Amino acid sequence: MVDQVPKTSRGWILTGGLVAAILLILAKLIYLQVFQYKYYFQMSEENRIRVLPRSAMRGKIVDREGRLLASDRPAYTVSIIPSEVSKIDYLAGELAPLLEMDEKAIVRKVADRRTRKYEPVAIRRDLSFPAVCIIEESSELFPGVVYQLDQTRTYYYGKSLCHLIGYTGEVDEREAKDQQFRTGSIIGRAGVERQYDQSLRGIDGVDYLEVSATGRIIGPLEDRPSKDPLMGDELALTIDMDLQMAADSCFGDTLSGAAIFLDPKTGEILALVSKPTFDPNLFAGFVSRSEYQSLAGDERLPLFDRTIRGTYPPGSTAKILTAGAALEEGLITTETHFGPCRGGMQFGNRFFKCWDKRGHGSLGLLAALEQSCDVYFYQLGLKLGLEKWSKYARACGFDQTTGLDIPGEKIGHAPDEKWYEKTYGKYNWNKSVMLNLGIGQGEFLVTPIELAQFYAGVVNHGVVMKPHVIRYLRTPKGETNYYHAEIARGLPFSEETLEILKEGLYRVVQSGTAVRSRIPEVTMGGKTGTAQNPHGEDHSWFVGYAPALDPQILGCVIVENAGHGSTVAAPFVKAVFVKFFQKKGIIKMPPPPLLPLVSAGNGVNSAAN
Amino acid sequence: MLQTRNPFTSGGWSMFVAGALLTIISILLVYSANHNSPDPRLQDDWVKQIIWFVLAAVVFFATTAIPLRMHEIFAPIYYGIAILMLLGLILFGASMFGAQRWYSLGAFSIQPAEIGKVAFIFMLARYLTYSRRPISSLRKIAAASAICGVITLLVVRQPDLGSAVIFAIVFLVMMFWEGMPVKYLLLFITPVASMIASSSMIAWIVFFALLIFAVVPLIRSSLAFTITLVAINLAVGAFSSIAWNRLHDYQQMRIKIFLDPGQDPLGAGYQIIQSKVAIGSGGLLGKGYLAGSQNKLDFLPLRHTDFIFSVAAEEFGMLGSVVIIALFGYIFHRGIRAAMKSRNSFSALVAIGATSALAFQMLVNIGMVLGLLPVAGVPLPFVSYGGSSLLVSWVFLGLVVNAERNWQEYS
Ligand SMILES: [Zn+2]
Repeated sequence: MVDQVPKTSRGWILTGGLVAAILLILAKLIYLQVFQYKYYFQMSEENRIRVLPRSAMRGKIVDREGRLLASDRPAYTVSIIPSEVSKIDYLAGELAPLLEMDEKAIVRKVADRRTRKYEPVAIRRDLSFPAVCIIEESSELFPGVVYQLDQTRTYYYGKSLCHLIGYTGEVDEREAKDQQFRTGSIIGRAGVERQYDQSLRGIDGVDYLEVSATGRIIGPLEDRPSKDPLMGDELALTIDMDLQMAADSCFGDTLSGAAIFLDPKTGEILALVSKPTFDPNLFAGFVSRSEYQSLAGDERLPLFDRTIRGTYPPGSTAKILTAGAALEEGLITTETHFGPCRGGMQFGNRFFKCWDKRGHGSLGLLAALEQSCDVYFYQLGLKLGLEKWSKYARACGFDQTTGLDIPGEKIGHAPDEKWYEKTYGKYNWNKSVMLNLGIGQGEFLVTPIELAQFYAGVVNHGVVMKPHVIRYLRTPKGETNYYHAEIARGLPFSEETLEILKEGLYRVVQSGTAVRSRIPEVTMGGKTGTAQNPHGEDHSWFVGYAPALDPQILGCVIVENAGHGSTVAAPFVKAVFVKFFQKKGIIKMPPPPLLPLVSAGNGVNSAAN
Repeated sequence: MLQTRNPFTSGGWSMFVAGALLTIISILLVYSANHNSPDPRLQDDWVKQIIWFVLAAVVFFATTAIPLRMHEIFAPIYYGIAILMLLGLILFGASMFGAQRWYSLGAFSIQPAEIGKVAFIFMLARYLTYSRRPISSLRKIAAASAICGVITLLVVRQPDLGSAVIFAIVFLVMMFWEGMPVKYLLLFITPVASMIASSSMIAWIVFFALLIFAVVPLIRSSLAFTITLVAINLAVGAFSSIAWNRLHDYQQMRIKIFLDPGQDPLGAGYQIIQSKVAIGSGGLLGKGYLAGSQNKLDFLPLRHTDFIFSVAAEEFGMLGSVVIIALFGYIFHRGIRAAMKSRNSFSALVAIGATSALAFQMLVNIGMVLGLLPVAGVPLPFVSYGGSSLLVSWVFLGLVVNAERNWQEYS
């Protein structure tokens, strides 16, 4: 049996126990203060420092004449620091009426932040000054709510440039991870805002603040000076706002479609319109869910950029492709005549109609282009054959993007034998597809920008330029980098072939289907077209250029569900050309009124296709 | 040897200096911790601490001057008052942090648990001295346990788990000092181990294997005692889950977070993590007085009370920490020496009780801020802000000096 320990030993046992305990404490102290000193010192530094990003001003966007199209203006942004909010539902309820927001939207925004909860989440941009004052005065009621003066993007021409310029949005957490952007910072989401985001966004600055554990800001950190933000580059576009507005106003509020005006020699886009439009300013500040849904759910697809993403049958505008290919292959000369047009032609057991049921008789190539006789081109298509047609269509660029510097461009569709075999089976289709392809119908689809680029090549001696909207980027220091025009490809047509095609196009406006869109002061070439639309009224095409001998501007317009090209699309092109040549001084000012242009069914039904 | 009432003879002077240095460090640290506090009520805490220091010095000299014999006589009265104050707390006490620990007297407050420590030491020392039964008598052990049990239960009821632990430890040390056989110590210590081990089935099985195959053969005790020991351990282990559920949420949380502070870095584990950051970032020489960022910027919770050692370690580094520990070490050394020297059983018990109270509060507190022990809410004697704690620390110091000075007195 273990009995009493002698008294002195008890003293020494207690002393020994105490010494052991103190040694243990000293060991832990040495471990923390010596071996882990660097780690904990770093942690204490991070503890007290709050990195407050200062958004850089986004670069402004101007048109080719320096008119301001988009810029940042100062605005108040209200943010919530998630780590400092304990009852977000309650806080959201208090804030919602002040921010004119939905409670749930506030809660969702805060909940979406899963990491870095001590950094503010922007809840509402562009808040009115009185609302900011209320938040400032009753800051105790809104724990974790901070506001900051930063910028909001403003688009001065709003709707008329929405697809081209696009809009901005906040970087979400996933993107922040992938692309190393700061969550909540502003990024270009569409249009040139997205295309040139790298240059426009600038470099964010940062303030290092010393903060207490409760988030109380003590003041700027002495040993780490702030870094000022660096404003983004100024982006100058090739767009001429006068032409842009002229093109835009042609469509009014009811018509849908696309209009592209460019300089065929350089590929510079002078105007780029897709209708209907939306207001990009909605995206810059705060877009409510209902607003966004009404845009996204609109049957007229206002968010859809028809200039680069809309695919349509080119209709008769494709006839110069058929003609060019046949000429190049030596299948015809301008003297070659085909079987006469009697308002159509019999092929197999089907009667293929000409647009003009009165018939055109037997025509040569130039007259066939001028009158856009379908029967001529049915026969020419058959003669050319699918293999050669698709070879030329692809060589002309209809199977690729144009390289326009706006993201999201789609490729049309130039089918070949393989595609038909794959789609319909080896024996379930026949040569008759060439009848349709020859006149730009059937499975042949183009985007407006593809068609514009093709025609620009035709009138530019076969040299196809890369279309672009960027003119230059200018750094805040004033260094200007101009964009240099690039050649995209050459058309597979000889100079002789091109001369014949241009002669045909000239005649279309001079005496053919677009004769009523002639401008007395300027010679003009072009081609009308009607894209058959199985879902409703046909789409109206017109591609025109002027002056005919030395083209400075080329316009490509499609108006959806508007019928014949000559009645709607051609006058649009004419209106913009008039504006263009007025500015050049070739057409005298004051101009004849451009409007009214067209209202549906105004008695030009007999106009040629 | 010439007897004198001058406390500065026989080492009283150096003990006063050790206590005074710790208290001055306390005032400096309380100033550093709170002078910039956003809460204006805390900004003047350092002034209050100075007032308490003056008071404490008076109490110290009084304690060294009043013969221990007096306390021996009045011990039951002290004990009764302490019990009444603790009972009163349950009825009238100011509730802070979910615990009733204070009597508020205007700007100052009194913690009966602190006063209870002194009363308890006197009472237990008196009982152990007066009772003629041998210390191995179960009746004596039971009666002593009752003295400790009543006051401990009242403290647990507050609830103040940290002080309760100190009562239990001081009790065991005093019983050990009085010569209680080691096997009876096992009766108190093994149930605690059983309770901790019961959190996991495997740990509990290992614990019982050790108890039956290692501890029981070693003490070679009677069959009756062995059965009692095992039965108590079984019962405690089985009921500890019930006891667990009776703990306050914050107490449960503290134990959970102690086991894994990373669990909730912004919640309960926050204190421990921030304390370690403060201590670790202090390095060898510290960030300098008033320059501790963890302290200055409110990252340390309760930094003027329970976590004041972190402030010291951050601003004065390892050097400052070691100085504080060395001052305590000196006081403990003197305390144990006084107990060993004393020919008077009562003074020896008082000296060992006072020393163990100071020592275990210091160990539990520093162990806590270093992350070695759970956050138990035990102040650091002399250093933590708080009048009751400071006064009682000085009373303990005075008792040690008194016992040492009068070592020749026989009971
Ligand atoms: Zn015809």
